[in-house]
Amino acid sequence: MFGNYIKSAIRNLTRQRLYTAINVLGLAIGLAACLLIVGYVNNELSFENCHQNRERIYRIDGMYSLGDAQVSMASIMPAVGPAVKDALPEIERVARIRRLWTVPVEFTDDGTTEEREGLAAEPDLLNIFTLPLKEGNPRTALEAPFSVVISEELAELHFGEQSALGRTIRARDEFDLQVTGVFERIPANTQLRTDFVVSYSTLEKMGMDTQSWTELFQDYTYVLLGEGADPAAVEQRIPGLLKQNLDEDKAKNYILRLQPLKRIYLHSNLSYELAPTGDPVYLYVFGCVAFLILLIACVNFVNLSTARVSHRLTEVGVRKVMGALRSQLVNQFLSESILLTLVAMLFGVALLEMAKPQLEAFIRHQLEINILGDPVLMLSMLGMVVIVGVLSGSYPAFVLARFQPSFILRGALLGGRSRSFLRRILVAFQFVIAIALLCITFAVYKQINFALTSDLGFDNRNILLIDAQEGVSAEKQDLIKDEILRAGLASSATVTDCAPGEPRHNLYGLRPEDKLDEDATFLLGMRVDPDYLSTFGIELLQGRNFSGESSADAGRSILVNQRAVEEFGMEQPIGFKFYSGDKAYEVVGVVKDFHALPFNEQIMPMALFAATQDRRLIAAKLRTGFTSETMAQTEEIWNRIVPEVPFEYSFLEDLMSENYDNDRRLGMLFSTFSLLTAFVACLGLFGLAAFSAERRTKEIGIRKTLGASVASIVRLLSREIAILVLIAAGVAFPVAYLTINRWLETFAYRTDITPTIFLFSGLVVLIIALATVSYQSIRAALANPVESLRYE
Amino acid sequence: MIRVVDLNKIYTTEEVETTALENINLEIKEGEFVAIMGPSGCGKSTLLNLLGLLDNPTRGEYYLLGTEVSRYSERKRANLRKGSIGFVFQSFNLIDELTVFENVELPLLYLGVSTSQRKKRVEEVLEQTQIMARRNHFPQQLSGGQQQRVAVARAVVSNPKLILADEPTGNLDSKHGDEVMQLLSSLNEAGTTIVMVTHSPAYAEYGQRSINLFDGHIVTENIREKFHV
Repeated sequence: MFGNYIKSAIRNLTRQRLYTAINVLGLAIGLAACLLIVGYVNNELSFENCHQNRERIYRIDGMYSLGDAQVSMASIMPAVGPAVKDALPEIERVARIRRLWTVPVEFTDDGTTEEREGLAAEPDLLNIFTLPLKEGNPRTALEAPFSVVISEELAELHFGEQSALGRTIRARDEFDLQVTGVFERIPANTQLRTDFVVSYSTLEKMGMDTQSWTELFQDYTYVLLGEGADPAAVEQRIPGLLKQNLDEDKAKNYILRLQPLKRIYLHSNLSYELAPTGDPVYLYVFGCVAFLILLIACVNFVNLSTARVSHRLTEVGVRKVMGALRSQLVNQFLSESILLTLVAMLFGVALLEMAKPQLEAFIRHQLEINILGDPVLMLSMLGMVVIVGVLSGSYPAFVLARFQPSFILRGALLGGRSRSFLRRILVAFQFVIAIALLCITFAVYKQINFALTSDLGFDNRNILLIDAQEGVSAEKQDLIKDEILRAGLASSATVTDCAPGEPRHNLYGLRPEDKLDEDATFLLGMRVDPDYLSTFGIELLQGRNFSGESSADAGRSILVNQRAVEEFGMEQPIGFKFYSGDKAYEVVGVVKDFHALPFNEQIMPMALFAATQDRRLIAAKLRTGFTSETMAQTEEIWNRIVPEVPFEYSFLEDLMSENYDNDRRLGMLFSTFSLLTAFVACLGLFGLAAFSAERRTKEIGIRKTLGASVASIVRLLSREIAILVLIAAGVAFPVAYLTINRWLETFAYRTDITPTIFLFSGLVVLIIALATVSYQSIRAALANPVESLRYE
Repeated sequence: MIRVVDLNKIYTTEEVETTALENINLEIKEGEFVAIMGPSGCGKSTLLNLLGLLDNPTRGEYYLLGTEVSRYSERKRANLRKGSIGFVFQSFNLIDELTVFENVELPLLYLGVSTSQRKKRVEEVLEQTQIMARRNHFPQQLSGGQQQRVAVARAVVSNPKLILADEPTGNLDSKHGDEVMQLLSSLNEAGTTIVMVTHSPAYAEYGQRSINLFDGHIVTENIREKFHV
């Protein structure tokens, strides 16, 4: 019996090609979107699952008060690792990991050089985490200095079929590293995915600090707790440990916490994470939109199946006459819709493979979606096929199976008024979704554009940022700045610890002079020299800038922004004093507010400290823009003064543009999904228009015989759609308005919600919808009336 | 075999009530071949649908093989239909997506007959109706007469006691019409009860009795002398 169902299903589907194609395509898109989401969510939730000890692995995170600034970081000072291991028996193993930034790696065997990002790690890395070696001995691979364990990919790329063990790799044109191991493929869903791991002992040999209690907060320190150990208890003993090794005052500045490995990826959002982290918000956004597309595809199915009920009536009648029970017919039609969904699923999987790279680009890391190898995914696929098949197939199935055979065989079709009403409601529902998504898309773009074009209060054009943090003394920083100016490369240059618009920032706890007995208030702080204002074009409203005499204001004077003047109620800002401990800072000037933080964030009260020390950045406003000549000259100056330090630089505009990356990607995502939604909805509409034109051939024939023009027929057939779109717009607009409003509330500075957003979205959908039906309408209207009458 | 008492069928739409059959009393014995005649709209097909359990009467009693079935549920009617009643329609009503073989096989499928027995029985019937050569064709590939032969084959495949034929020759030319009538006639000779609606007095003569309907009433009943032996 089942075989018979399948047979007639296949024949029916192949006979009704347009209907099948529309359904398969729509469902395939919907299913692919859902699969992608299931895979994505699965991937996000499965982060670090590859490590067998994952429940017992923790990372020690740090919160520091550095001077007056506070910062939470994923990496901590190097001395903590060995200390906790010695002092706390609950900690079984410790592995410190340090990021080696990108280093040019030369493969001596074939002489090629490549930029690769690697880590340095202690030997227990391989015992704490499940990172099996394909080659090499995991016990010893990371023991000796200048050993390196490389990824399978690197090994294959450079040593091919031959064993990589014992080969050498030259790093930074300075060190020869010996390959002591090759990783098996490291899954994408762990933050430890890397190209190579150098033994931690190498760092010491390279002259890097691995013992400091107070500096170099660069070590990601992972610990493996013993079975049954209580992380909270371990955490409580850390402050005591700090006190033993640091003087009391300093120890107070550090708070170290244990972060469970499993929480890090989705929930940790500290500065300097080892690898990009995920964002649970995207899980929801993605999920909702994918569900909507699938829903629209299901609606298409229901609509098209009920619209073509008449095509199946004879069959239903005959089967009933032959003694088929209603349940048997329902089963038959359900098998048919499940089969169709199954076909759609196959196409969906193909689409998924095509769309995966785009999504990977969006979330900025690879996805572990392996359909055949992942039981969760396989089961969800099967589940989706059955659920979607039954969901979209049951209404048509019950409608068809309900007909009395005597009606069917007499050829008397039921009026079907209620069914076509339902169809109209469903089509309108699809338009509601399409229009609402389109409105949201426009709003997202409008907000991004608003952020990009608004006045930031400073000038970020042609600003070159040179990293002068490590190994460049304050004097040399100033010297480089002066040389750049003297060479005429820049109109202005400054040495600072932070440029406005950079993602990083420091907070300083200060007490205003009139509230000395209260807790300190945090201000955004920057350490600057007198040229900061002119370099970034920041306007001075009141008072004076720092004096050119470098030491006159340093450690004594500050500039504040307007926001700070309001916040602290300074009636006479000039001369107002802030205190950090006993140290006083006098306000010498007020600057106009500018967006030092990303534009989306509220402008904070801010203090610019005159500083000659503790700066990390040389910012130069170039005269000519970023020409290769300018860059070469700048590098030449750099190499003359600090030849031992690599010349690393970035452009402020690029950095700032990255701030909006998330929003831009959100915008892209929304536009992709809303276009897909509109496309799937129009697919259904196209099919419906075909059936509606077919159903109305007699009416069209009679009208034409009576003298109706082609134009009037097209109008007649299009009017219904236009009315539906208008009704849908009426429902979609408030829904979209509320959603956009909620989303915009997350921004401190937001664009207006203008009527154009709505009008434009409605118009776009109306035009697409009319274009979709016009093909069928025009065809029906142009047909010879005699044919349509004879057809009846 | 069939006895109906005061059978009424009234169709009701939103505004109009149409009486299709009024107080029909009728008895048909096993092995009889009865023709139902009358002008268009007199209620012939309605009567046939009621006899074939495709529909329930509005009022009245219907005894099929001694059992009162007029108030049976759709499910019970379906169960009674399959196996005991075969149908032949004017417009053949073959399923376009199924081959000749599969169309004829359909009633056996719903009866739950095993695959091997189905194959055997279907081939038997296809031989009998001389359509075996076309077993793998689809209905659109056949002439009207061939299609109707398939429909007859489908009607008899489950060895029903009763065959209801609704103008089986209505869409056929006289040559093909004669063929189909011969087929029905031979089935009747083999013992199957046949009730046939027809417009054609000539074909009505194949029956032992004809019933004339007019506006939902039985107006005359003629018992024919002529028997086909």
